[in-house]
Amino acid sequence: MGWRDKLPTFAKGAAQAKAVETRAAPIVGKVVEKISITAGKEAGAGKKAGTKKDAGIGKEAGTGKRAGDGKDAGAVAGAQALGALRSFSLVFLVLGLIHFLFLRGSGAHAFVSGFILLPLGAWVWFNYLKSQNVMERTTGGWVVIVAFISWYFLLGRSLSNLTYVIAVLGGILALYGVGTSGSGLKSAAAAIVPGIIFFLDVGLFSWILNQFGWGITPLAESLILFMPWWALLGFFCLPVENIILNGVKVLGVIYLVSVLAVPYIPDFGHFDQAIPGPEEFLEAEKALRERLPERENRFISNMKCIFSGDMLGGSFNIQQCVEQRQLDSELYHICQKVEGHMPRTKPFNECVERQRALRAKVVVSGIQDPTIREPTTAKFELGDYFQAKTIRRSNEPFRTRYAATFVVSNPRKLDLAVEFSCHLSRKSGRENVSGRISSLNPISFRGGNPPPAAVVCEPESELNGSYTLVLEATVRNMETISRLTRAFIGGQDERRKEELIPDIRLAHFPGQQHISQGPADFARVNFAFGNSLENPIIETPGGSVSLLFSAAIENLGRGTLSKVHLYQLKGVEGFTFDHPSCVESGEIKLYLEQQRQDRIHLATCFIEGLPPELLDPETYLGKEYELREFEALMRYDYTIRKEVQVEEKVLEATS
Amino acid sequence: MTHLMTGRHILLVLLVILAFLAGCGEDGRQGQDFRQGISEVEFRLLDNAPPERIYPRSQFTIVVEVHNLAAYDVADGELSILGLNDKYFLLSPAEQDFSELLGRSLTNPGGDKVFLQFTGVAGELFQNAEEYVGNYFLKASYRTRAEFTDSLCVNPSLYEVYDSGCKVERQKTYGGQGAPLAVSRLEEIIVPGEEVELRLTVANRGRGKAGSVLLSSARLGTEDLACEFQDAAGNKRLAELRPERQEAVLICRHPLRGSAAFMTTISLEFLYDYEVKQQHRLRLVK
Repeated sequence: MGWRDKLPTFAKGAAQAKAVETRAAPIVGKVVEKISITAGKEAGAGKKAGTKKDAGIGKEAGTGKRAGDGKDAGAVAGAQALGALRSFSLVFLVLGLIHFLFLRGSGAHAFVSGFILLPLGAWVWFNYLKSQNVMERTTGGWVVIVAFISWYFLLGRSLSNLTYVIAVLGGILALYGVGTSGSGLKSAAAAIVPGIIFFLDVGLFSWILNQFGWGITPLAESLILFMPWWALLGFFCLPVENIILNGVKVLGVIYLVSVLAVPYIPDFGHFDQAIPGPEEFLEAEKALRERLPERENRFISNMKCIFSGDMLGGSFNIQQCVEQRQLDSELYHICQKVEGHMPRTKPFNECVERQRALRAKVVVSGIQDPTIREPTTAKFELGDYFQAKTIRRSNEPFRTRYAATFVVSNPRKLDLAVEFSCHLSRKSGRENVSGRISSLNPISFRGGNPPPAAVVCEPESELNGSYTLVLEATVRNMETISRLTRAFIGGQDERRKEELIPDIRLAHFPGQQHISQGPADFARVNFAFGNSLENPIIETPGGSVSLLFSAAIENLGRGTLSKVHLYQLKGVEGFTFDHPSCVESGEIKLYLEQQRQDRIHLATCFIEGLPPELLDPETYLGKEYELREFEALMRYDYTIRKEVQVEEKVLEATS
Repeated sequence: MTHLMTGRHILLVLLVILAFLAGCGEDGRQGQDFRQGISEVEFRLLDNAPPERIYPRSQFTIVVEVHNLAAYDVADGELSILGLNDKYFLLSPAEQDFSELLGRSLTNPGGDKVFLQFTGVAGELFQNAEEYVGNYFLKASYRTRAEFTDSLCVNPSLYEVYDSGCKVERQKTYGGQGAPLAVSRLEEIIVPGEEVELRLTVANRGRGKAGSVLLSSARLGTEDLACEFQDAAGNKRLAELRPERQEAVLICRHPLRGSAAFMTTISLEFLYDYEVKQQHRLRLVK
């Protein structure tokens, strides 16, 4: 019996559904009526039935159109609510929010995101596109989703497997495309969106920031901390024909606008790396989140500032208010949670004031030197033979050891000594098992490409259950040098300056060349000086010198700056500083909270004298201006940390 | 036959056209006037001097060809290389003089040319950097002159009905006098029975910057012409052109005698400083 034969049945169904509606629950009646009317209309027009144009949107169902027939307002509201709940997009949005609020960062994050939310999100997304008439079929999309999940989670996401998967997938999609005259391939392309959402949810953004050493901007911070990606997909797919759903959409837009800042897109870098897994993304996000200060949700700050009493009179700067609230929340978190002071006590207030004073100092920024493409790097790697799960019988001796590889890239051929340590901790944090490095420790790395070193951690007591294995490597006496260029024009007259300064800026300081640059090592010194810190052209009218100098340490890696042995400024012979600490310092003691900070203020002072050739280049050198490069050296210890979930299962002893 | 004859005719016409084209053109021996258009001293780096890539601790040479394509001689020329960081590129010397370069003329249609050589040593790259790019300026400054000559009609009885014999052109524009500094416009204002006022716009049309412009001589016919630069302070015949505004207005006045209109010649000579800056770069590679 073909579909055309069923037309009379559909039309009859429409009449029956009308009758049902008056007696049965509004939902069921409307659903049946909706589908029947749609099919009847399409059949009558000679079109193919079941275009689903109105299905699931409630265009005519549940909007109260039928309510005009005399139903009461309560039933209408109930129909509205039920209509909203019928939308799985809303359900998915709620699921996404639950995942964001409770599962983010936990051990189940990657599993839930990849095996539950990804397929559900794909389903919501495909249905949404179908409702928008963008595509008719979803088979192609499901083929892509299944292939991706298989390759990424089950086949180890290796490049060799990828080639095979792409070949098979390509063949299947080609045949499918031919069979559907190309229309089925739209869903295959649409499958990219849930894939991207998955990567963003597990920390793609954080991974990119870490990988390329980009700075963390307010936008980046918001995206890392406050963006529920799966909920965002559910929100986007919400239909618009229902009051409750409309309200949810409006709230969602307000949230997005409040959280997002003006985009800052850094330069792209170069990378050549194996495709990382969700664990790496999550680790990157976790490390980045640890480096970001704990602050109030920006949405809440925005709302409180907008609706605060200050809005009622006088001038009011929302952005200033938000920044102040953000800073206050960060200080309160440090003083209350980290340092353990009770709020509104004297030690708490003193702590807040001390933190404010630290942040009030000038902190300069720096950029990665674009001409140094090979920085010094070091990391732990877990090979295919790493046994995260081990089993033994209770009567068997405990012999578990954890072996990792420590890989160092040392292009500048520094003499690096690395000291290792390890321990295990329970998730509850109550039990710590110390570990011993049974491999060679410490190890020296010399040469440009030293061979990787095996690091074996031996727990010092028996394990039973799940632990977090913490491997640490402290790189000793690492040296990083940054450089800064400045142009000295002496005391030129206004007319000459008008001509000279634009030429100098264009030729020597395009883009960000006025900022100090250094390799993308573990940390570096950022420094600047001049009539103002941002101005690379130094004027000394009438021979007077009063230049501001500032330096700060920037932690570029995911680890901890455990010690700074030495800081030294080079190329400043003949300069007079008002404080010698700006030129050179011995060991710098870092507080615990500073060791994990992104930026640590080093020194700020004034330069009160210059050598004569820089004070007046025209007279002493016969030049209109003199270009000079200065260097800042830092020698330091850096600790790299790797955490791995391990489990030792102890079975009953056999008789 | 007809077809062949048509083909031959076409060929003949083409040959005639070719003959005309070959025959048309300036005969330098007849007296080419170089004092037109905008021409100036050109500076050019020779190929491979400097080379595209320079290696650490190696020597390199920068050779600059200085060619005077203007219609006037230049004097007190100075060429310097500015903006190189001595740590990476040490030049010695960084400045050289070129005393006199004759301009283009009938006896020297090509204009004088000189080659200036700068030798330098490259330093070391920073740490393990792949390269260092050093932008620098080639800056030349010299003194030169420019002349302006034109015929104009002066009619003391401008508003009389009868034909005066020559027509006063209230405003004339010019395309240059073979130098970067040029008189670009002339306005003639006649106050009948009193004086003739000539307003000339003197502007820099070259690629460089003019500094001080001195009106060294001004004549209307055989008589001296009283001229001064508008907004000039101190010496009224000296204009200091600002970098952002490279033009000045020269106002000349001459008393009118008689009532008959006459053609006469205005001739002016300017002495000025000129500066040219070009940006180039050196690349130090691993």
